[in-house]
Amino acid sequence: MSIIQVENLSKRFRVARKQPGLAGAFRALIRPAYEEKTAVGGISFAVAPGEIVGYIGVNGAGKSTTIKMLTGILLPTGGQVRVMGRDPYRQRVANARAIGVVFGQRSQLWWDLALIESLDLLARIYELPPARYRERLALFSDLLDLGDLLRKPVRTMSLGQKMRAELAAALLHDPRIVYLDEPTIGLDLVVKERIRAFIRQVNRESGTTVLLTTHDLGDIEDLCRRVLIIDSGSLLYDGPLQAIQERFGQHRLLTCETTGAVGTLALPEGAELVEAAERRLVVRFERSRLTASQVAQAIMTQVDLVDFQLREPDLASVIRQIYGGALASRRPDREGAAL
Amino acid sequence: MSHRLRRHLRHLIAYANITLKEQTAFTGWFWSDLLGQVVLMLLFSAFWQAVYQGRESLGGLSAQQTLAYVLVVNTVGLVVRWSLIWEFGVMIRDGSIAVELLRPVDFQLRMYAKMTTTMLFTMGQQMLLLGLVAVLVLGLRLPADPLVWLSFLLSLLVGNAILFFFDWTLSLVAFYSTEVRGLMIFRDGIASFFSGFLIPPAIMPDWLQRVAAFLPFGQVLNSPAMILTGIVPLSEVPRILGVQLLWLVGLVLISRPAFRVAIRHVTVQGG
Repeated sequence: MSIIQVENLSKRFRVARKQPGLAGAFRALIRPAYEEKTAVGGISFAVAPGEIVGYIGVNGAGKSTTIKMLTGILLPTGGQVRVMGRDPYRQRVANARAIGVVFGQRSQLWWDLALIESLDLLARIYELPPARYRERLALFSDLLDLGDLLRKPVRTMSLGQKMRAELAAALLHDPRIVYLDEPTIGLDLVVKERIRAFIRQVNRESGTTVLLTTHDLGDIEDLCRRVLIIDSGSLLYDGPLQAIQERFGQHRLLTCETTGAVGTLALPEGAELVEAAERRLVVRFERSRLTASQVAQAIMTQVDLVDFQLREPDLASVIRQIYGGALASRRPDREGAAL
Repeated sequence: MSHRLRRHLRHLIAYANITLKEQTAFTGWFWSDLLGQVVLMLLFSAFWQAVYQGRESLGGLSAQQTLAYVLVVNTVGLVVRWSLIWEFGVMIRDGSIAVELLRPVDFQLRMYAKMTTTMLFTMGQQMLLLGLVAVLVLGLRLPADPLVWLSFLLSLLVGNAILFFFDWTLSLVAFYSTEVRGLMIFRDGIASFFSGFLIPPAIMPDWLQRVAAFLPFGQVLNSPAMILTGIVPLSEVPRILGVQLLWLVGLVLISRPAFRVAIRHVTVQGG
């Protein structure tokens, strides 16, 4: 049974098209021209209770628009959304009681007041019994190290402190689903780690379902077993993170330091030279066809090597390939994907 | 009381409470605004004294009645000067409306709590100081009858609610066009004129009075001012409050479905 069910969901915006310059501005005033822009173009997926799903895509791919439709802020142009069996747009208030949201670039706290004032208000709005509120506050103080922050006005907090405060505010009422839209944006490694650990713990202990939007692939690798990849409003991939890493992470890089300049280099089938400098070579090869030692041996017969280094593919390079269209061209052999 | 009503009431109190705390965090603009109000009050008073030079009455009002009226509307004029339209414009432009819509709270109720608490808090402070200037410097005589005061405060509160629901409906334009400055200037101009802030409607030509009767602004400022200055007797108060309540109910009934239609156009700028 899915907790989030999305079928053929789409959102089109009508945006004003203005010619540049003053004349264009006046023309738009008298006869405005509009064009339709598809932000989300018919996507479908389902999320099971307790899952942590990573939702990734480049800027403007349609991630935030999807989240806004799931939370009931935006009315979909087409398709259907069900969150805990409800239509989040038509039953926005009822839906809001059961979800928590963090927008990494937008605060939900009262800027000029101490954090505790915002939390007090949220506890009243979400109708948390006082004992339960105290319990949650104690838990978050511990997990997110809120202690001193509670009395601090939000505007005086550092970015990392603010994000911890935002997480506490979004999860105070123990929502069944939490949407995290870039929760680690701009944060240092230590705070990122702390926030990831917090999300993991909440998910494990309360069974909270998490839909995580991020550009930080560390978040994805750390937290998500499943990813959705969206580009230009279409879902490119929905499946296990591991599968995508295995399938697209098939290239390894061998970087060699040489004693002198290299002329032409003959490489075995499945390997190619990607960079050749004065004393440096970078060779990319397919892991399924060649081993590192085969490639190194082939090079050593032609040049003198001083040192070499082997680099495994990381998620960032995998994602770069996918955004670059690798998935679209490989669609027929997709696996485990409910596209 | 139904469960839903109790919940609404709890939300109203919670938001009024946090707005008060927020208001006490700023004080800077309060004093500069107040200074402007005092100057305006002195100018209005001098202007109307000059108008009444050599006249007994104007539009059925004596010099003393008009002066009292002008001082009262200047003291509580904030009720028409606050602007929900600007708030809406800001929320839509910077996308903070997204956060507001994520709360399990009636959005209109939440905004009413915020706007009215801010207005009452500021006006409460201004009323004390402006009222002192009006009474001590400009010789305003206030009624002693507590029933008049009660009627005045009730009429002011209902008037404030009328303007809230009117502004709410007008503010929905912000969902279609993110530019609200023009709309706000238009509304402020019309409201200042027809509410009685600039000229008592009783002095206006007949045709203008008829136009004013079709607009809600007189209900906001003119009605409570007429009660406090004694221009209308206490026996007229039930009729005045009745008309105000009709306006209020009508605007509430229009504003809610209008919001449901307009919100479909929310785009929420940026990430």
